[in-house]
Amino acid sequence: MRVEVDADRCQGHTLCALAAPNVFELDDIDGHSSVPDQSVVGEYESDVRIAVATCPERAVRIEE
Amino acid sequence: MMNVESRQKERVDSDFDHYSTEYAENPHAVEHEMRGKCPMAWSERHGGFWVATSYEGFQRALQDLDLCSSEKFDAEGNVVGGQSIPPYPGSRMIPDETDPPEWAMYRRLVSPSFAPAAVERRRAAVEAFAIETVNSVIEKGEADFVHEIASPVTALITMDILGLPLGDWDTYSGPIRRNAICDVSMKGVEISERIYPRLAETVAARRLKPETGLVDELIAARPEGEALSDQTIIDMIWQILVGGFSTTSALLSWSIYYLDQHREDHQDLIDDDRFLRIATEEFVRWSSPVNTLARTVTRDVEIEGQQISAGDRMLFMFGAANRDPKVFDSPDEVQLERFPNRHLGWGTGIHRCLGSNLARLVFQETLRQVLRRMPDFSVDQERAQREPDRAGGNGWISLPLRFTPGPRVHTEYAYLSEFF
Repeated sequence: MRVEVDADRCQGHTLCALAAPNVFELDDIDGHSSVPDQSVVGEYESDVRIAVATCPERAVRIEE
Repeated sequence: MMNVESRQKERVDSDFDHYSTEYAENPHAVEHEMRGKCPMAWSERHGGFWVATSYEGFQRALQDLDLCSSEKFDAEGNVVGGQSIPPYPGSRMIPDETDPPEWAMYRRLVSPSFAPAAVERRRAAVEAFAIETVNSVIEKGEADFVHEIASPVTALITMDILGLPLGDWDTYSGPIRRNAICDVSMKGVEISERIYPRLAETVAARRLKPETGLVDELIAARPEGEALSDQTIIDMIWQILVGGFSTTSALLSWSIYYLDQHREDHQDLIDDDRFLRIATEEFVRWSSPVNTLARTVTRDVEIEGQQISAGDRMLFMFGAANRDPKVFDSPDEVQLERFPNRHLGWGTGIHRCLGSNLARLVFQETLRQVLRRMPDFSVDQERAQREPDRAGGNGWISLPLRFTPGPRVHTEYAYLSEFF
């Protein structure tokens, strides 16, 4: 699975990091999310799907 | 109030008034009816405005980042827009009542103080503020949760970040609380008369004698090479005060009101940090402490089948979008384990709540103190009193608590006791 955060859509709700704390990183300045390692495997895949579903801005995207 | 009728094919008109007692007394039935009949209705009140009640309407309007303007003043300084309908007297909130590119400059100045990392560094201090606030009532066995816990803890922590004198907390908190319960014709008046002059004195004094806090950072800031004016700094501080006080206080109050009647999750909220974080989002969704905010539409657009024109005012009903059954199962139910939870309680789009990370922390640390140290608390439901309208914020005037008295807990912040 590949995951990315659309920086133009992300507004820093931080819910993706609550869903998948090992995948998403929050910025020190504005709390916006990014994905240091876009390739996600195994145990974290289901967390990432929750992150997609819990983002109010529809900023988290995945490719299976 | 809900005499919804189709006067034109293309528009459903209503006489909906977010200040009305009828709405305040039965908010969710009114919201469900409006969303069901026409999720983008027109109201003739207050000069006319669209009423957005569906989750989809919020996404279309607020996630199209240049469709809606939040600017309160026009070029001549006339009041035209901003986040309330009708606009309140007084100057604008910054950055909430500004648009890009100006918005980005202001937001950059204040964001770092409220980012997750900065807020996490304050955790021990926030916990101590919560402990000291509970210390102030714990030996009495009774307290008004709104006046003696939620108001001071949120005010003192916000003012500590700003670097404002903590002894002034009720100088600011009093007018903010009274603003929530006065008639619409008086909204903003006491704030202009009491809060702005006090902030002006404080900013002037701090220019001469800097201390440590966000106030001093704003005075020292040189965005685009120039210092901010006193008025701009005051408008930015005012934004943080109003955002930090009544919203988190309302969230705490609604949660205590709920938890009084639902005792089964108390221990898990104390012990399980992840559960508490997830539950926090559900309390925000369910209570929607910021219940309405306005925008001005900048171009002609069709949303929810309605033809909306540039210049139209639009009122976003956050409590309604957060209970949209198309998005949330059993939306009127509190399900503390609800997750995913893509609620809009912190707003959506560029003006999403600046202080959300701090609000979560203050909420969680204060709630934990109450649940731990007043485990048998009960709310006097007969004497509990809600704010009279649901326009803007949506909080409580009074929530009387009884509990078994307990001991004070020592912290390094014992000096706070003089402020309660």
